[in-house]
Amino acid sequence: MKIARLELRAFGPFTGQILDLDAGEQGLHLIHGPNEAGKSSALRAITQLLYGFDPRTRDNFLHSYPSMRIGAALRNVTGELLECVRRKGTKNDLRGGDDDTVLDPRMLAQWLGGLDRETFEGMFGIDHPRLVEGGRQIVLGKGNLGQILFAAGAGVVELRILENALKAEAEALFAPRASTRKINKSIAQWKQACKESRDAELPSAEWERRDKILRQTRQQLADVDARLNAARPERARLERMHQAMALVARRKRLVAASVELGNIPALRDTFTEQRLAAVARRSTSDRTARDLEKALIELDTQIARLQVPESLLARGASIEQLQTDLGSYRKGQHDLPALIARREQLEVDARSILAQMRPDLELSGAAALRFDKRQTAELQNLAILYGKFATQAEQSQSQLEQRSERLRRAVERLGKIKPSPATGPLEAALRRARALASVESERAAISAELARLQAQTLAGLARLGQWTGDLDSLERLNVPAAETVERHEGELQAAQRRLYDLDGQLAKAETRQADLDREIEQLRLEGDVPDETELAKGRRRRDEGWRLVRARWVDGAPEIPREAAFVTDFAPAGSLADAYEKSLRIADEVADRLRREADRVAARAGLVAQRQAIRAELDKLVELRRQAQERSADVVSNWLALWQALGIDPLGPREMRVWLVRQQSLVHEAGAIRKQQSLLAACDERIVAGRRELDQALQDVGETAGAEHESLSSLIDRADRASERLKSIAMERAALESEIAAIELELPGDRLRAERSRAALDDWSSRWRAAVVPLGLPPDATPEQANEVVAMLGQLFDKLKEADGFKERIEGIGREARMFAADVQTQVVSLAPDLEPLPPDQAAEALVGRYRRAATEQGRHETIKKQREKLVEQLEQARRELTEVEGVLDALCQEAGCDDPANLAAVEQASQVARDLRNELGHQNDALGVLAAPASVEDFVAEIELVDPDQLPGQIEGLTTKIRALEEESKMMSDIVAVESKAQHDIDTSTAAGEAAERAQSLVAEIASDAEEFVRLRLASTILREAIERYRKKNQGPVLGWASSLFAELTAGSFHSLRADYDDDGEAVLVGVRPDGQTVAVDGMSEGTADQLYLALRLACVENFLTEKEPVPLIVDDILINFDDERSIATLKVLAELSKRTQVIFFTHHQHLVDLAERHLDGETLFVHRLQGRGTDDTTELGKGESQRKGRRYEDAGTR
Amino acid sequence: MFKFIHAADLHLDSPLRKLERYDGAPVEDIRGATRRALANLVQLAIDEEVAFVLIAGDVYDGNTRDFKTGLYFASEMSRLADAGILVFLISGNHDAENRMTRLVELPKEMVYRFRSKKPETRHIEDLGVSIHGQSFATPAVNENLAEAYPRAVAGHYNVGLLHTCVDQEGTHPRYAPCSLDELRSKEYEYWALGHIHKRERLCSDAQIHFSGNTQGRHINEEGAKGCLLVSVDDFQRTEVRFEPLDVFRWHRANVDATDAQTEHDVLERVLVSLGESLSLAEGRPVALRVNVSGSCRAHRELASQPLRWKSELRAAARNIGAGQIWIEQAEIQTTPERDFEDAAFAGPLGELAEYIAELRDDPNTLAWLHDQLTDLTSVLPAELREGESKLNLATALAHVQPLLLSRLLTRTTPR
Repeated sequence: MKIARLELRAFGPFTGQILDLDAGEQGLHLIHGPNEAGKSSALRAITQLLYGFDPRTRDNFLHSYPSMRIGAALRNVTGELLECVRRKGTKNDLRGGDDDTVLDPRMLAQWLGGLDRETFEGMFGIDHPRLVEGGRQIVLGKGNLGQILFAAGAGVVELRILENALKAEAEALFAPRASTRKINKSIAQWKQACKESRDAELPSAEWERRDKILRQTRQQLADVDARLNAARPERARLERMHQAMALVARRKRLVAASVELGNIPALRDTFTEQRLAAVARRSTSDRTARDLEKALIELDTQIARLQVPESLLARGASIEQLQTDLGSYRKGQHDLPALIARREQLEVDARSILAQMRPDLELSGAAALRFDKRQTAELQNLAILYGKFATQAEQSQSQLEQRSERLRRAVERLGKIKPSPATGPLEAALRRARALASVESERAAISAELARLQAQTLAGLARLGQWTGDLDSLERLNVPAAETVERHEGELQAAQRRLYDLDGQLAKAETRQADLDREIEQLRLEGDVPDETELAKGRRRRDEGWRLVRARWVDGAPEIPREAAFVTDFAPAGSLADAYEKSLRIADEVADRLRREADRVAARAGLVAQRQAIRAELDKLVELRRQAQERSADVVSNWLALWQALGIDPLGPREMRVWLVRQQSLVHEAGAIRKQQSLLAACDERIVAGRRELDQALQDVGETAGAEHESLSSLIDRADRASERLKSIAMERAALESEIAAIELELPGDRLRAERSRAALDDWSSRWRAAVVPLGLPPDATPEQANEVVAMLGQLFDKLKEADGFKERIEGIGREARMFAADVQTQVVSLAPDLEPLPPDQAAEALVGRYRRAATEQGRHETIKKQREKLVEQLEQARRELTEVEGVLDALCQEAGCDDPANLAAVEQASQVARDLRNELGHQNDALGVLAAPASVEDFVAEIELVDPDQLPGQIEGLTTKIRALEEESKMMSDIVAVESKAQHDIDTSTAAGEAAERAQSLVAEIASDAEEFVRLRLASTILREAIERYRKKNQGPVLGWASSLFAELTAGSFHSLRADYDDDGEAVLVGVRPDGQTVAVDGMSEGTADQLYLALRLACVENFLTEKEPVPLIVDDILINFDDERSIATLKVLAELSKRTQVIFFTHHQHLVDLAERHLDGETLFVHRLQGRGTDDTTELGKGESQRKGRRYEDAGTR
Repeated sequence: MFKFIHAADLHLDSPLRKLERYDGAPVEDIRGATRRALANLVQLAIDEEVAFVLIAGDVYDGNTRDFKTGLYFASEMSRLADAGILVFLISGNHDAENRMTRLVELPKEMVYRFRSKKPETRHIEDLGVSIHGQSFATPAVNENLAEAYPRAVAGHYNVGLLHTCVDQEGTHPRYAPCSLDELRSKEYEYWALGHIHKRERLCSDAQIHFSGNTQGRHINEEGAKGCLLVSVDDFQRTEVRFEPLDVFRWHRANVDATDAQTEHDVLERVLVSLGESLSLAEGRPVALRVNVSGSCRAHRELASQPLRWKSELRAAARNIGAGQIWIEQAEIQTTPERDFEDAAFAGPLGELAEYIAELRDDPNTLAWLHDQLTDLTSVLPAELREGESKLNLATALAHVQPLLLSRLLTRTTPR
């Protein structure tokens, strides 16, 4: 497979870049581009074309992911062509050349011979850094052959580092007997966790053991407690008896004393107290009664001394009234002079006011001037109304005048404005015209696209070649179908192949013929071999001689000329007989030799027969070749005829296929041009129609007609302005008309209001006149004058009214004084005639004084009477008390069994003694009862009397000792029980053991995870080592064979070959061999040589691959940077040689290398392509391509 | 009417297995999980006011030696006793193995453990209930115990309590085997079975149930775990409802990574799956085994560094799971995406692929490789040396090729 054409349609910096890599058998394609020309993008494009885009490719800086495209035409060894396009995507990303038909990726895989992406990149891609690193790694790896072969084959350089890394990573996880490695550490932790879990456990056996101890101890404790429970009551009983002994003795004595005392009444505890209280009460009551009797006599004396004047008190109410009236009488007398003075002053004031108004009138006549309320109200009302009516009249008149003036002005302005035509049609036309604006811009776009298409097509037309003419004729050109071309191509190829075959057969036949000739000649040289013809010829000549001999000597008619000839042939110097003899001998000799050399004769005969056959075959082949040549000529002339009919001078079918593609593309573009043209015409038509309509509309509204060249947009502008203007006029007129209508609607109202206001004012004037005349004012008096007169009248009447009030009060005071004097007179005459001569007020005062004194006397009399009643009551109480106490004392005497209260004290004493005795006996019984419980005291006493008091303490002590021992034992055991059961109770039932177990499980998981990783790494390491070794064994022979000669060439003879050797450890290592046979270890090679060694190995792998598999293009990226010219040339030659078997695409940015290649490689192998750098030439399209063939330049297939 | 609870296989203090701890894992949440599940059981019994609780064997793990486990069980039984709830127990194979079963004292009046000699019947007269049961005498009971169970007591609600595998094949040992028909023939109203950890109703026409265990302890015990709450009405009609008791869930998240371009794409798909698992766990923390499969371009990226992928997954889970997700394992079973089926490696890479393929099919070489690892395997914990958790060489081998390819190629591919 080779890449016939690489189309960088949209990738990296490229847009439509096409590289034609079809030239040559496979070809060494040198792609030169300066830095930034997109060389590395092109490189990446090849891989991604074949194997799909990288999911996160960064070559999308110009073209977005969806628009990225890499196209190619691939050609396989049988010359088949596959056109395909790669899109970015995961499904259906491989398309046919039309970028649409989905291609099955397996198809491309077949073309690649099933080669995977990794191997392709590793084996068929090589660049400078990898070359250098590969060389370096060979040196560092000390030429380990396995590694070298594996690394070179896979295109991996850091194989050794990788192997070491795998080992190191595995060892970081685990190493036997280590402690700090991850797995080792986890295992230690796991063991620890297991131990912790076990330690935290409470084993069942332990529990069982302790539970048993607890149970036993509890049982023992119960036994001890039972014994204690028996001993303790016994000791208590003995102790009680011991304590009771003294009590029993004393009890006995008390009983005896009690019997002795006999029958004494038992007096109550309170008896003495009661008696003493009664005696004390009796003496107190007696004394109280005597004191009260004395006080009663004293009070009676006081009552007898008091005298109360009853008549005076009986008139109390009248005298109290007199006292009250006296106050008002004295106040009236005091106020009177001032009141008289005020009254006179008011009359003076009134008179002065009247004089101001009506000097003609006296005060008494002033009443005639009195104005009633209605009149005053009418006057005030009218005064207020005046302002209102006057203002109303004025305002309504002025409003009427203003409105009339506005109406006049509006009518005048309306008259000046002319009516305008309707704008509707213009607006509509304008709207449609505006819509055309987009059409205009569309038209511009179409026009630009058309121009671009035309230019592009023109360029394409110019580049098409083999034919001249314009696009139309090209389009009409009835070019043969691709199938036809393919058929012709097939025929041509078949014819060629036929000729070639025949030539081969001819050459073979000729060779065979030459060989046969040589063999025959060989036989001939080995000795003339007679044949049957020779024998026949000898015999014929012999017979002829015999006939001549007979003619001469038997028939006597010699045939002289024949004889002479015969003699000359056989015995030129002799006679006929000699000649005959000779001929006889020759014939015999031939016969003899024939017989003798029959085998050789047969061989020769065979060879001769073969040669004859070959000759016949040759003749046939010549004929066939002639026919084939004719056929070929026919085919060629058919081919030519096919095209020449169209005026085309065709190249070969392959070129013409490309030509057809270009032609088709041009035809397609012609179609596009036509489409654009028709679109353009359509646009124009719409624009013209729009213009026409708008122009007409403008004229309809009185605008001037548009000039022929006036643009649509200018028309639109103008129409806009016209429309605006017309609209504003119409609006102004409408505004004026509506104003006039409004004013006309208001005017009648205004007039009516003006008339009404005037009438109201007239009415007021007549009412005013009627109101002011009675005031003595003229009819035209102003409201202010009227108000003034009214106010003065008000003052006058106020003064007069006040003066009348004073007069009344003065008269009232006189009346009251007279009535008071009469009252006083009446009282004095009846109650105190001695006061009669006094003036009334003094008499009244004295009378009142007397009455007050009488009242006081009467109060005292009442008080003393009440005191006396109280004393009488108290006296009776004291006497009752005395009687009661006597009764109590009698009762006490009776109780104590004596006659006289005076003897009571002695009885009381005796009773006390008897009671004390009984009390003590009771106490003794109580104490014994406590000790005896639950037995009765009597039983207990009886029991004690049976006991020997001397043995009791000993018994008690014995029991105490025993109890103490038991208590000791009990305490000890209950301690044990307490501790054990607390321990049992306190067992924390926590899951410590479970948690540790869980942690151990976690660690197992962690170990498993790490162990898996370790196993992976260890296996990877082992497997890689084995795979390297296996690969070495399989490939060492062929690859080393290729590499050896390549290395010699690449080092320009500095080395003769490569060889496998074995180092001290028995490992296979690679060494170089100098022409003189000396071996050089890889670490003895220079850096450059190491690079070449690596390159030789890489190319050897490719060569090895190509012996078995389909060719795959080798992509080489600037690997010669560090090579000197000699080795560069050598490398280029090696690549050129390789390019006979597979396509080699060599990217470089060194012109120097291009020059070297052009100088040293022949033009049938080397093809130079150039990638133009961006920004180097403004006129050059980005990524525009140009290819150069040695000696002559031609433009590479079209850039679009 | 009355209610009772059927539970089994508590396996108290049996540790949750193979949960590798890492920063952000809900480590606290697994503490005492089996105990907390039991506490939930007791609380449920009290809240639902059930008449009795049935425990169909395997209260303890056979090898749990810590007596504290027994004490804890006793304390929980006391809680039930205090609430007036009866408990009927049988010993399963694990209990029979464990000495604790005999030693731990349970409240005598309220908790009854059936004897192991022959089947016994206990009556609850006021409810009209008869409970038939028999304990395991030894850890491995291979004879059919069900056979000797008595016929149903007429007029009573009969419950059979049995630790058995029935006739199921599976990972559980085949103890006390019996046939379903045999159980059915006893005409009990309810069979409360234990031993199989997966909850199951064995037939539709009779109430024969495995309640499953109360708390999942490893990834093979995934999903909700708990007990069966059984309600019996006055006509002896039975209604069975599952009640979850577990405090920690296990789930498998199977993620299809087909056509995923990058590790990131796969991660996004996994996160969707994690969210679903989390919602299934109803607020409980959950241990997830993530299994990624399918043919995809991301295969090499994933398979070459499974550890890194696991830790990325854990970090992502930490972000979305609010500390509720524990990534137990991240299994990578993806396969490489080839552009075309018949593409094959050539040259050294081809040699490598061919060699690995040969290894995979050749037991001798596998054994040889295994021998290469003796230094490690000899010191590993026993459970990683044998049994189901044993290190799997085949899986490791499946990851070796992507690992080597990734390392061989990523350094050198010109980009």
